[in-house]
Amino acid sequence: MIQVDATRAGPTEAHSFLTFYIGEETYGVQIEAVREIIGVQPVTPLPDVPKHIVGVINLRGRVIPVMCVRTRIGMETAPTTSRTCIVVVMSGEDTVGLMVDTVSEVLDIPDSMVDTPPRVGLGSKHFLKGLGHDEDSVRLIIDLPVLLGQPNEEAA
Amino acid sequence: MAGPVPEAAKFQALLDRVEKPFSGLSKVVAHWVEGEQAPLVDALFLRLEELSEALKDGECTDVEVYVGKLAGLAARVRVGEIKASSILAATFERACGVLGEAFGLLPNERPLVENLSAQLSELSDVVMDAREVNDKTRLGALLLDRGLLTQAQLEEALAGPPPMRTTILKRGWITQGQLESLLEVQRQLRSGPPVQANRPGPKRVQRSSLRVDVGKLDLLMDLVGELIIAETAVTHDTEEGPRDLEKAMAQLSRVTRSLQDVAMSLRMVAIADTFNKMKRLVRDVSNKQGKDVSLHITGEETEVDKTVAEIISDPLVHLMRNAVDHGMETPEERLAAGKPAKGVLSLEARHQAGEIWITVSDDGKGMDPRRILDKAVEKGLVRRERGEQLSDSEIFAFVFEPGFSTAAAVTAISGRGVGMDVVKKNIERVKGRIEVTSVMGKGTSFTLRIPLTMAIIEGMLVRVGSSSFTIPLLSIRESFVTRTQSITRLTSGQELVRIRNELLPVLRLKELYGLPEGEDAIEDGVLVVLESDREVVCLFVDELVGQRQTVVKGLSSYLGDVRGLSGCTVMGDGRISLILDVAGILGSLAA
Repeated sequence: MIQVDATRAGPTEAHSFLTFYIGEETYGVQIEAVREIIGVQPVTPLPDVPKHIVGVINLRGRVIPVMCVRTRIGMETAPTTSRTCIVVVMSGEDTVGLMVDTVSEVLDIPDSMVDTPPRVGLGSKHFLKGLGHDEDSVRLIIDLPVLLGQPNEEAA
Repeated sequence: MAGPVPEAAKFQALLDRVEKPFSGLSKVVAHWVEGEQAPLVDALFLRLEELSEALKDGECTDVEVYVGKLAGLAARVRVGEIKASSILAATFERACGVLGEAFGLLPNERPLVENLSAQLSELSDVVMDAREVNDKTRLGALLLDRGLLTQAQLEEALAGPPPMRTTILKRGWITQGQLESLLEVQRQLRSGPPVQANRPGPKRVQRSSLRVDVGKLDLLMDLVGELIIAETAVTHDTEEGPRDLEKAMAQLSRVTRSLQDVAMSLRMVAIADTFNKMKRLVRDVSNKQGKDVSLHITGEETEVDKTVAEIISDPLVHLMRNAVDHGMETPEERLAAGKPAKGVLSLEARHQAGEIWITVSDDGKGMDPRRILDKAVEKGLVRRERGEQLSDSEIFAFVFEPGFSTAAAVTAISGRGVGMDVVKKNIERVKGRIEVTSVMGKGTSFTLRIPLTMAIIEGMLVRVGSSSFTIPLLSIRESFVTRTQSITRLTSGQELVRIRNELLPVLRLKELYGLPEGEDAIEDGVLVVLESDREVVCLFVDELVGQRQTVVKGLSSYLGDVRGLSGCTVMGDGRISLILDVAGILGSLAA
């Protein structure tokens, strides 16, 4: 388990991202939102919730919901592997686990390297806040509140 | 000791000192208000003396002066100078409230009794009302003392309409200036040195604290001791081989489980404290309204989670006020309606169907569904034609709409058209519900149904495939195994089972939740008869695992309400078991 130190604050912190893979693509979430990263655990499925809510897990006595990011962004589900991780994030009052394929690294992306996402051609990817790029790759930066949304709204 | 003692530590020490005398004082005053009389005055005086002793050198001058005044007052009651009237009792009760508030600030800062001067002048008013005879500080005595008035004039003035000073002024016996200087003298005599008022108070720090039974803490300490022993056994003394390790592990898990239980019980408080606050409220409101109401409290020993106790406090205050203010009639109206003059307001708490039910009911005039409907139509909440078809309980639900009030007169206490919607919002914040029943002329009853977030219930653990669910034991009537032959299948596909001349619907948990595994043949599983609100259903599960003390946890607020679930619990092995919302499941079936 990797513990992320959230107390370390600095001017560059606002631009640090935890990156992870979903399929071939690299996504990033603001490091401030990340509480910890845990391996896959037995998930208790819930009845009557949207498909991307896999269920709930017991995180040291706290019960938190887990969202499958793959399903949420409209991709096929993939079997869990030893590299599958749950990234525990806080957004507002909510603590949610994000199930991702593989966690990559913590990356500093300067503002100048982040573009606003194009308004067309993104399809279901309206949860993107920006595109961070360097010479050879593009990282899709996630707008966490939009990604989490209200699970029950989508169920309707 | 070198260096100054830190402020916080000093205040904590002071708090420890005042705690005992203060709780003693509160008790005495509570008894007094409840109607006991004679031996109390001595006890009252003693407690106040103790309290002012404890406050010495505590640098809380404001509070010290205040307690001193109270002690003075009590001393005068003791020697018979002042009558121990109920007004006086109420004053002491209020004073206890002021002090309690002041001591509540102590862990963080030096308390200033903000409305101290107002409180002190109230004290002197009470002394005036008490009509004591030999008080040298009464205005009359002062006037005589200074030769401004003769005895005859004073008596004449006292016979006139109170206050006496207007009579004296009107007659021109003394001038306004003389009166004012006299009143100043009187103030000084009565209050001692003038109190510094309106000092800007420091910002209050909200800190949440909880009183815990020392017995529970002792148990906790014992268990921590055992935990350390067990831990040592596991980590060091395992040379003996795996059998020994097994034993040590079993011990460790037993201790851990007990530790969990105790830690959970620390958060639980009896609802008595919340309920006791209502006693004074009801008394105050009914006195103000000229109504005769007796309050009956039951189930005050019911334990609820601390947060629940806090959240229900405000809504409860509102409901109680409303009940006295709008629900109860005046004694005359009650007699005319053939009811006893004294109204009965009851407040009840109990565990029911995995929830805490708090019921406020009065035997007052009840609510008129027609009037509420008229108002709802007028406010545009419902169309007339639609409204005519609504049931009474649906109509009563309109009172929780924002801005809805049927009270003809807006009183100082309630009826401003705000409130009920706030009550509802507060209760909904803890995923609770409110139910209203009312019969014209008979009374109204509000039931707050709050799920036991973090509370502990008796649950029955059941298994379907590899999933386990917990059913609140209170909702289970019985369980039985039966054969396929005793099942009747309707054309709609609904299965029914006959049990003692009753035909009950069968609900398969596997199908209800779309579970991938689980038994299909009726013989291979168990039927559990669930009951809630007179609705009954047979739930089909694979197996009853056993009865468990269940610590209820809410599902994440992120998920909101999940149909058919009231929460979940973490089992001994760390897995999660979902708790069935029996009332919700039965309700959705009936609809």
